Amino acid sequence: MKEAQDRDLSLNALINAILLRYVTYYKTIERNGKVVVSRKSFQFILNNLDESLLLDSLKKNEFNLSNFISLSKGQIEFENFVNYALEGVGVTGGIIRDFDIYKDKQGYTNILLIHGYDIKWSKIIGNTITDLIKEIFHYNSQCTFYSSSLIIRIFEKSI
Amino acid sequence: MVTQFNSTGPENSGPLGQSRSARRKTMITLSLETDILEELKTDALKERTSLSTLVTATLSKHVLLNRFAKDVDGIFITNNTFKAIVDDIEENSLEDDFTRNALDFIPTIFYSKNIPFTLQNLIKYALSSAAIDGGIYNHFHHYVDEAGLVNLVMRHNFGLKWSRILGNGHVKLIENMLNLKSTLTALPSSVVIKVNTNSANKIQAHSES
Repeated sequence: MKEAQDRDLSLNALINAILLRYVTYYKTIERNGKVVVSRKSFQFILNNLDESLLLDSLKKNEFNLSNFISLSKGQIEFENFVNYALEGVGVTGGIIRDFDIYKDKQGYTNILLIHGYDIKWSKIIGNTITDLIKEIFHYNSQCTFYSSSLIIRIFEKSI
Repeated sequence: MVTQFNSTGPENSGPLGQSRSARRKTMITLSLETDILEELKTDALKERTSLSTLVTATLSKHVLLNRFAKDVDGIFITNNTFKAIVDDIEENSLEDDFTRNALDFIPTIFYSKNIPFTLQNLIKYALSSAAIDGGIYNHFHHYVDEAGLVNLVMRHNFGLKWSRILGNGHVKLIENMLNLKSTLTALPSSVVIKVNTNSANKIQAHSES
């Protein structure tokens, strides 16, 4: 009740939001087993861990394709991918803080991902997500990395 | 879709104030999005539980862990990724990081919830609940052995290196928070920490002399 008041939401809206996060993300990671790592510890891990090892593990585990297929009930659509990878694993799982999707002047879809770590993390999540987009939708894309954000430009106008 | 649920009582009756079974329950009526409700019904059926139990468990987990993880900017990683991290990073560095976090995180929760620093409370609020929810081990139990030592047993799937890190971190936490001496036995899938509850006075007497 207090949280709903603090967030200026009705209790009903808050509970719907919590249950939505459960069905789109938490239940999957609960099933696979999870560890919650604090922000400081994760930055320590990033500083000390081999980049390719983390990239491989993220692709295989966090962004697991069969989880995506299961959650989207076999409907391999870009919107479902956004719900799964960006809203669920990304924002709810803490991998990113926020994201935005927009079309540029050439009509290509751009995904802006914002996170709280460093450029190494920008590269890891950027490469993970572009690989997934290529694998699932066969779209080519290009990343631009910044210190706490990145932009993925997808060379496809039909999205 | 309007649905009625038994939910946990007001927050100030406390997720930390009472055991899960003793907590007061309140009947509430919710209007849930149809897609969410259908998904929850399917999950409840799969888990052989009622819809009400599943919703209550999900809301409890939100209050006890997920909301807190979000507040502190925590990140959820799978067990497989965590195992890869433990295997790859040098042990002393990882142990330093774990211990530094434990020595900050757990006393902070105790101070913020006004929980007295006792071994019983450490077991109740940290070792048998928050640590399991946080995933650093998946099973915990404790008992008093023949020598009168309190044995804390933590089981996990992350290997011997993690047992040593977990054990050494907790030995330091127990000494720092409770002024109690403990020893550990590390095994590949568990760690046992033996706490000497009579050691507080000795430590104090030693430091005074």
